Amino acid sequence: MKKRTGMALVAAVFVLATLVPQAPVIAAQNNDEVRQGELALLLVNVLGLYRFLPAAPTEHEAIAVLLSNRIAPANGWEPDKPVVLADLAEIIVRAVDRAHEVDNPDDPQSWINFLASVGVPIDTIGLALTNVEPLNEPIAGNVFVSSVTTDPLRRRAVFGQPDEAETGTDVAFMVSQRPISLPDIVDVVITIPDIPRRPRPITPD
Amino acid sequence: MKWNKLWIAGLAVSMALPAATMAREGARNYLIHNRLRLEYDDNIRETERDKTSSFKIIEEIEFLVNFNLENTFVSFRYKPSFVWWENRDESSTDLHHDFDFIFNHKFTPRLALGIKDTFRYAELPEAIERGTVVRQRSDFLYNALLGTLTYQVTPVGRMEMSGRYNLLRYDKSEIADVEDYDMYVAGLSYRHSIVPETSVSLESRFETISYDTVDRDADSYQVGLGTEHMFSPNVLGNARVGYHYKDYSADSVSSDSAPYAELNMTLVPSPATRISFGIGHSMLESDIFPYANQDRTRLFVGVAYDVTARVSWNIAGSYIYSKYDADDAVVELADAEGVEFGDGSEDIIQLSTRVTYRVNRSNWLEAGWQFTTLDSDLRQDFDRNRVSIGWKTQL
Repeated sequence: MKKRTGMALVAAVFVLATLVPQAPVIAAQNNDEVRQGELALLLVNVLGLYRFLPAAPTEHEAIAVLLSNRIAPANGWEPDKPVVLADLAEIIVRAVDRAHEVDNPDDPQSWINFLASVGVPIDTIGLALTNVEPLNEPIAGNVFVSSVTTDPLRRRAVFGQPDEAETGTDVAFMVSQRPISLPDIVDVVITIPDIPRRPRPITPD
Repeated sequence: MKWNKLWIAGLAVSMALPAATMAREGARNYLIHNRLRLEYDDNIRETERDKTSSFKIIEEIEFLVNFNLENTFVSFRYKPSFVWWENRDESSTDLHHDFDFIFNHKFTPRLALGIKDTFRYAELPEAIERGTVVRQRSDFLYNALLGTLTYQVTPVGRMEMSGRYNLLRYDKSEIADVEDYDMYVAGLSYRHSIVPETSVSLESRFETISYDTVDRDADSYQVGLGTEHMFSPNVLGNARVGYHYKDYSADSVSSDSAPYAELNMTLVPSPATRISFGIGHSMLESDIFPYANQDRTRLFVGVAYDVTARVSWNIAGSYIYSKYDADDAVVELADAEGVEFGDGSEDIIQLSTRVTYRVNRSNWLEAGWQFTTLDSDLRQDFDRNRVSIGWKTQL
């Protein structure tokens, strides 16, 4: 019954919210401009970073995981700013992990020249992304971030054996979820006498 | 078993699909990694006394393939891990399986669907304390299926409707009786961008958890606010606050309500350094039988630093404080065993670090250390160190 009530409540709020008057959506395909936030969402897919994010990540969430992997335009991410060629070049070079091969990183043209020298076309974003492979060494807050969240939609209680990635390190099965049996608890209760005991509740029988 | 068939199917798909797409021009849409580690573990059973140490060989192979179509993105990842233990009497090998599946589809510019499945199948060693088996060897299966439908209501407003189903299953009935659960979550959020750098959201969540032992079942409701903000192009954060109400099925446990809050930040102070940290506090399902609830506060910090173009150093740490209230112990279960349960708390610290040296574009050498310490009123304390060296190669 309570489950049904909860579901009905959620559905009702959704229906009410969709009744809000709708204004035209300014989509990227209405013009040729793609915003940096939209590019970030495309990049986390091809780089294999999506598994560290919730099912429908926001642009901010995508940007956060890209920053953790040192992938950003020269002046950092500005979600609403249109992507320009120099920024795209730097992002693609960083995404393919070859930034250390660029001659003059402070010169925007140098990033474009490097891609041209290795035969990577970036005339369009779609074309540029075909040159990006999944990252070999992805860095993401996986275990700790997923377990610290208060959101039950995103929280993970169990992590793989023997290890999962955590900001470039390995973290094993979460100790807080270490399963224990009743004898384990009985053993502790018996051997530690100073645990405060709770009075038994008075019941009719 | 069903999950065995699942991972075999996952392996077949992971192996077959990259081959089918190798003719595609441009970069590869798949990767295959092999990672081999030699590790020393000083407390393999996580016990306070009578510690057992062992060397281990950990062999992992990872398959990942992405399909990036015009309006659809599909990704499969499968990672089996084989572990050989030099000193573990009951069994010298483990085999674990990780499988991830992602499906995103854009129906229209306004309407999109995201589905994500996380599957883990692993083995756990038994725990022996003072000659007594306190936890039998057990395999477990965990699956989390999450779906989110997003609808762009206005240029600055987005509606998100989500559903999630989690299950946890242990092979051994002694553990399964108290730990197995099914969890259903429904969520609805409305996100509004105030300015490009800042958005706020109104969120509601409903969660129901059902254990094999029915008395620990509970329904939870959350209502709150969230926000995301970019402080600068290299600093961003998000926060979430609200109120949480939890209603238990056991007659002996009265309902709980409490505020929840969390904050997460990511910052890049220099081109070579990335930092992330977060803190959160909420009521949570209990890990300890027969408590039906815990109040948990947790913080973490992660730092990634490029020492040189070839050498990177990463460190991550986490601290958890969990509080268990005697009033949240299911009396019927406790009385059945003739034991009374009191208030208690736990402190858990985890540290992990790794140095990676990139030999060339396809090979990496690494050295890592993990440390875990548990200080608990309610179960055995322990410390555990794991030190490893490894080699990773792209195939």
